[in-house]
Amino acid sequence: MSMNEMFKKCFVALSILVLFVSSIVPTNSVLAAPINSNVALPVRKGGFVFRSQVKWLRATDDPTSLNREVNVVAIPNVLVYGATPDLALFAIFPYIFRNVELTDPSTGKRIDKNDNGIGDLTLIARYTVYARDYPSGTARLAPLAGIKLPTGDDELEPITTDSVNLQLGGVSTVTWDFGRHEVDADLIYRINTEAENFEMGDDLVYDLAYEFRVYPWTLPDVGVPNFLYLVAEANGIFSQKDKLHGKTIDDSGGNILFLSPGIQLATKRFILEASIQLPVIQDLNGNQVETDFVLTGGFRVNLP
Amino acid sequence: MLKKLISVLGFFITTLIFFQPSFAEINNVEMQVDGMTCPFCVYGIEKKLEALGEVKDASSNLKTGIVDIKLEGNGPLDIERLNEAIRESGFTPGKIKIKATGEVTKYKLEGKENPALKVTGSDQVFLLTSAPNHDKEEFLSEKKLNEVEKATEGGKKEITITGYIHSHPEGVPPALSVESFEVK
Repeated sequence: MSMNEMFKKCFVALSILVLFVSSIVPTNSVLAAPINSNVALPVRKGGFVFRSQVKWLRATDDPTSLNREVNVVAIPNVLVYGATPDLALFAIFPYIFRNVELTDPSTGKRIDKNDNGIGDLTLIARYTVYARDYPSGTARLAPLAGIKLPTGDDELEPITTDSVNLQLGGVSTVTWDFGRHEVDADLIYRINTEAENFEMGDDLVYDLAYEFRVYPWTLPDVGVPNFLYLVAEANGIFSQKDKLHGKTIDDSGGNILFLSPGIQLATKRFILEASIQLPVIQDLNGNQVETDFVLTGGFRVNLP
Repeated sequence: MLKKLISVLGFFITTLIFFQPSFAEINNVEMQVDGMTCPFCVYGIEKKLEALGEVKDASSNLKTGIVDIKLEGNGPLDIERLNEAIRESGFTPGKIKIKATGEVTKYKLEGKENPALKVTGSDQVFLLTSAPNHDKEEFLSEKKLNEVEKATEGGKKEITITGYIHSHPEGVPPALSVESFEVK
């Protein structure tokens, strides 16, 4: 097997991991909300919110003699526009750095490969179909639909693909006790199509998040204080096997569940956030490198 | 020549001191916004309100869910514009409480004369009603309204009224329900 083929095989097997890094996170939108998932809260009509995160995924647990070590740093940038009070439009344009290190079976030497570039552009529309506001909270439900376009750098395949993929799903948000508690849930199914003889398996991604405001413990009588939240999330992905030249790749697809503690500081203008996704279930098909963690830091800003 | 100049200056200074232009006397506007429970969402609400020409400043209170609105100039207070701004920010407008100063007049509506507050320094008129008891969802007695009429009878008197407002169909002034008042 040539070196290029070895890397390619490694990358294909890692597709389920990189999906987490490159495309799930960006659809998060605004407000005090989960760090690794979506939220159904609104964006003002005509207003913009920009969100950026740095996500470092490390995967080193390789069941094969290749002893693969993978590091991916993804920077998903999201621009959200409030087209109407109910319709929010998202444009997601990630930038990705990738490093893979493995042992060459013919020489026994460690070799590595680095790539970086622009990931595929994803466009999403989210429409709020149910909103019930109270003086002390809100409850919202919003279906969403999106399309991934093959605009990324080819060197980053299969994080980028030549296919046009669709996604359908929904997000919901409930807050109560004047922002003390927030629960968010979402479920998205992604239909991945074939291009250049490669087809990534369809996948189902989900997230359940609970945010608890620890500061201020009691709201002041006047004004808008900054909020500090502790965030607990459970998120994961079920992925079907990929196909190459119509043939199923056995070392692909599977099921991953992460538990993700995090912390979030919300002000009027900014949100700063950090989280670590720790895998608790990794039921991966065939021989795939298992994830050690995904570390996330990011911010959101209300644009004028 | 110098005497003439001093006289002219004196006239202008006296005019400025004693004949100040009258500004609209809607002193406080407090708007309830339902669903406003985090700092990041407050930004959009305040921006939307401040984009209205008649709003000079909007500042929120997360504990009460109330946005305190300072008005600009003499423009009338348009309740529907405020409500629309809140809806466009993705939240639900609630009750609006104001404190307005003016004089009590009569406003003819469907052949009947109704007590009304003509706001000082603007064309704004509010039809005066008795205050609704929001806790019990029923109207209080006419007592408060009668007190206003009694306190202002016998000539022009400046009065400051605090209460909730709500809009009426086009052509009919908005209503101001009297919670409390003070005659100067």
